[in-house]
Amino acid sequence: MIRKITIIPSLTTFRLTTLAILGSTLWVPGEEPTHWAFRQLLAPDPPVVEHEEWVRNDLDRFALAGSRDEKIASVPAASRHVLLRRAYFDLIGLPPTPAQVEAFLSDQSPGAWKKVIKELLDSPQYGERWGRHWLDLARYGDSNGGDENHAYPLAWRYRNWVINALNRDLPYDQFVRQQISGDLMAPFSGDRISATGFLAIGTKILAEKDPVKKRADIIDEQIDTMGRVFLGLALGCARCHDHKFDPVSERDYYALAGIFHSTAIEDRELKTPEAIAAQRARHEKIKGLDEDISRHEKTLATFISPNNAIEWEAEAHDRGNVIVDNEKYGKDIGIISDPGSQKNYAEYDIDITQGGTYQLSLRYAAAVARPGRVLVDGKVTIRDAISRVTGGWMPANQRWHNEGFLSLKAGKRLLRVESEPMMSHLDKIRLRPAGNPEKAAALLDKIENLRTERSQLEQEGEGSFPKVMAVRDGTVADARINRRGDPHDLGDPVPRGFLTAVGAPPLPGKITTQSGRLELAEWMTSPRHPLTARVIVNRVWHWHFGEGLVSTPDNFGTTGSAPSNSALLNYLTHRFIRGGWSLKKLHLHIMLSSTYQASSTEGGRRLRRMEAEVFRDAVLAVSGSLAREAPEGPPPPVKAQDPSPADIASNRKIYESYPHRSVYLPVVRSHVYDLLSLLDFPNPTAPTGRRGNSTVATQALLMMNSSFLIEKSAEVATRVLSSDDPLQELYMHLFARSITTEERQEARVFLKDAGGADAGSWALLCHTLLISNEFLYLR
Amino acid sequence: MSVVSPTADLLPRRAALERMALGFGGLALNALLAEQSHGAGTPRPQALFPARARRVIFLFMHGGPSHVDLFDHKPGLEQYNGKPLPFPERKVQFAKRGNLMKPPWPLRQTGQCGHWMSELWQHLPKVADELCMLHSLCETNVSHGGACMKMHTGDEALLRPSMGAWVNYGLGSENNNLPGFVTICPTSLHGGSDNFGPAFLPAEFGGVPLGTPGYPNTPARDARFHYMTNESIDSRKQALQLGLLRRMHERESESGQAGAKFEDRLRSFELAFRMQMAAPEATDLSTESEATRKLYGMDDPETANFARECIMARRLAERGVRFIQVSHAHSLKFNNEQWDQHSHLEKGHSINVGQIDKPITGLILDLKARGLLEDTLVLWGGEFGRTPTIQQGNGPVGRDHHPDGFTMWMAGAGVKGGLRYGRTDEFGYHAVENRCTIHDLHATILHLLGIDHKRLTYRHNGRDFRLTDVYGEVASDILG
Repeated sequence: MIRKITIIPSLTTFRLTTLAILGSTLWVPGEEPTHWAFRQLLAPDPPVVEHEEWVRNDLDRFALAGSRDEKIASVPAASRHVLLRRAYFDLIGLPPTPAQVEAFLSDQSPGAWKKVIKELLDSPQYGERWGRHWLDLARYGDSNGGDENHAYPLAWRYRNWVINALNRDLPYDQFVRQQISGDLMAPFSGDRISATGFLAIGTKILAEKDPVKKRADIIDEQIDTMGRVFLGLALGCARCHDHKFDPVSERDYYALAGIFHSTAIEDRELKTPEAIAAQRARHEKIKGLDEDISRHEKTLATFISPNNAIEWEAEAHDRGNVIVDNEKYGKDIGIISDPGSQKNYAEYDIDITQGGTYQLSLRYAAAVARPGRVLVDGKVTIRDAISRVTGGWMPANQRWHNEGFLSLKAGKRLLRVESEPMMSHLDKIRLRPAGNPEKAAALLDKIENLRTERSQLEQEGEGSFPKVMAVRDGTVADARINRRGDPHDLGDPVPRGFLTAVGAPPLPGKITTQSGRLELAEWMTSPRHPLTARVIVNRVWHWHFGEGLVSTPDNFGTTGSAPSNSALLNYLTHRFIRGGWSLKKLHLHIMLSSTYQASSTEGGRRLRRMEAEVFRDAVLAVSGSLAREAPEGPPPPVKAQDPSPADIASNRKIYESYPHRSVYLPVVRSHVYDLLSLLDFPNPTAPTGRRGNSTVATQALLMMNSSFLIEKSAEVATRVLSSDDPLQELYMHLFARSITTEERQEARVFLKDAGGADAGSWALLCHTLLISNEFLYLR
Repeated sequence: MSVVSPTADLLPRRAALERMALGFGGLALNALLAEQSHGAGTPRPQALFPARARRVIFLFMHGGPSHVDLFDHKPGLEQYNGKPLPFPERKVQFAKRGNLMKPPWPLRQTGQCGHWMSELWQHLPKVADELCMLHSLCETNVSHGGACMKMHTGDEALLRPSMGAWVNYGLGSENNNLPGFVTICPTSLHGGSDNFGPAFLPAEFGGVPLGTPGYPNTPARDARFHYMTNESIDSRKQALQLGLLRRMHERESESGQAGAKFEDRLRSFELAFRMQMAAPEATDLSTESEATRKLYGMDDPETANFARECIMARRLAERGVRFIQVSHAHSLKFNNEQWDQHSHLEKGHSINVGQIDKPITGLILDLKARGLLEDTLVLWGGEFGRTPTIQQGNGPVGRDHHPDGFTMWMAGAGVKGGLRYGRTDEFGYHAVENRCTIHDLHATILHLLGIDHKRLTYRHNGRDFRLTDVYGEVASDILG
């Protein structure tokens, strides 16, 4: 029999006349690069294959044609329960429930498989699962890592943006553009600003004392991450010299560096229209409250009696850490002030003979505002006291100010004035009783209530604009070559631009007024860019099959692996672009193929251990303790900077009791939760497209001795013991299949040896199965 | 039923102990095995020289001990005390620096070899002739973070494997029941666990902490390997669990790579089971004799903590752990990091030397008495030295960070005891003779272990990485 494979380019090769582009480099059309990944993407026609009966879609034709003697056609299809478990873990990272298993197994209709895939793609858990894949690449962390591990309290908004973007199937070209230039895209959108967190969340050497080097290092991290993640190229090499293996010159590097030198990393407010409207309403309300307060205070002031005032010198304090000045600022009058940065206070024991409402006045001088507070008997009574500016620090600037009203009961009272870190120059204190005590007290109550309401509104207002880690255009300028990578040894300036020799057509026109990120993103997501789409399609394949068509997903350069089936990669990539860069369509197409539905084999889908976070989520799910909804707000606060052993122990408690999916756990760089890091969770300091897959004794120790797993095993036991057939229930939950007779017998013997059918023995059995190959490995 | 004895029934079926007790003939084999389990494309390292050292104990002094006050004798500082440095200070400084300052204590010559040591050292002079002083270390970074990362990984900013991980990758552990790289009471600061991590090397080569990394670090008496025990499942029950796992595995009938993977995994459980016995034994000091405890200073509250760390290091060395780091990394009340005396130089360094003097002297004497010093390389030092100039601030004076010329020392396997290598200028500022960069230091350590630093490579993202990047010269003058 003759094997016939025809691959005919169906697109005319795209040709351009020679264009003068950015800088002096010329892009010469027609000269196709020799390296496969830089060559133009041509859509091959599906090959004619022999095992047509095996074919479910064109993907299978390409897969067959790429398989020696169409060998993959002889790989048996995976059983339906294996397939279902595979689909659940692949798409949402969670096990199917026994009911879901039964529903699928009993649905014999031809569309049953497609229906399951679509349901899973539509579930919000899809974005959590695939968002975590993306976060591996984005080297996502909730702390800086590096030398000074400061918390990144706003990083989670970028994380949520990723999850949401994937859930709504944001086309991948848009997904890329927003992460590079979301802040510059029109129309302006807060959501897109969050996307630029990608450029902001990298590790920075914060204590680097050389600001020029520090900036160059940060930019290098941005360029290198962007190159690896989107293009599969290590660009960092070109910081010191032309790339040794790939056509990336030092000039290209500094053309890109100029774009990032023109970009500033900063936390930005998300001023959504709703947030702006709410803020405006709050200001109106505060204005109204201020008017009410001042009206009541005026009324109250009419009750003040000039008689019976108590007045004393501020420096006659009974306790305090303030200094008394009779010379420089208190000549002839004597004042108190601060000795330097500290929490300043002065306390006065006063004796009130007649309880009632008093007006408090302070006499002080201040050239700038140094606000403080007044407390009575330890309770904060006036929040914003001693805060006005009088025009100077000298006795000539001393003025009396009405600070507000106090309700003072008869007897010994403690009046305390405090301010931090500085204090105005306080000279005298005066209390004047209000006449008409009952009315005064009622008015004071009213004022107090209004003030409380006001301060609540103010507090709400402070957080009204959520902040995100992001970038914005800074001082726009080209960069100069750093000779041998030394930022102090400057060579020629290089106009801002892109890589000139990786087969991507240049953009017509020059980068002028802005940083160039917008143009960079446009260049990168051009349908004619040979790398961007190929790289993501290969990544999706890698995450589905455990091995990419290109086995080095972060390296499409000349030192990376060649594709095992380049026609298949080209076909999928072309289809992906034509389909509007939709990742969900890509998943569906892959999963509907016979290639995907085959049993796991070496050449096809690999048998592989579930990822660290999938394991944790799956354990929570089968024990019945997983909170499936996404949590509101930031991740639980764990200590990142300089944690002590006790901090790390308390962090662990937070991780272990956290009910939500692992993607929402804080990722503390340098101190990743060890349940995850021991199972090859990536080091979040660098992008990772291919996780480690180690089998080491420390993992086994974790499996055997982790209190988290031991506790969850007991919960699984309790859960299954409430059913009529606990063993069957256990196998359905953990393995998505029925238990066999042999396994039943084995389990009974185990329970007996473990000490009987008590809860402890059941927990031991559940624990053993939870750490077994069948639970951890996906077929 | 009879209780399963773990050593009898649970021993791996395949010849699992290939990696055990390989000695030096097994050098390449270990890397070969690593290569097999982690895919091709990883060129295996080759030992080119006869190894002088079989293992390393790195005594890491976090914060930066002052070379001019402890080991690097500079009469120039006496003479010009209080006068300005006659040449410009480095451009990038950590803190504001003033005039030259002489050491608070006199230095005197010790041993036959005449090594200079501060009077603070009461015990170390006993082993002076074992020490090879490296007076010309340079080129770390002026901040703790960059400098610690450089010292441990060779790079001051990027994520790179720790030198211990490289050594472990190249040579593996000599004991199948213990990790090849153990770090005792590490700090969580300035790179934290990345300073003993594998980065892109396979996970098994990373350092395993003894005690939770922390700031301050875990007290030595609480230092344990993690997940070595649990409170509810005894070893009889664990043996039952392992038995069930093996029966399930035998039914799985996977062939090819998948089958090998499953077999590997099962063996990792059996190894873990044995480690549960071996590891606590390795760190249990109750069997140490009274004489040994005294030798290290375990009987004195001031030295007890570091003494424990040093005894544990010796026990791990005896048991075949390849790279052992011991960290002197507590905080002092008046300074942040242990040796970081920006102020209170006199008080801080007195306390610090007091805490380690007897334990490290004891360690060297003990290693020697047990015949271990012959093939154990002991390395002492911090991430940088301290400025010959003064730093004035609140309270008593101190010195700033100094990466331009400082002292470390080596003892033991393959190095010339009593030698002074390299020199700083007359003020102890710049390393001027036989400059020894961190890459040079790393190249020399690997050389002593029998590894050509240029050939110990690992391919990652299309590039062959080395501990020494594209640099590194072996300081061959120090080789005995």
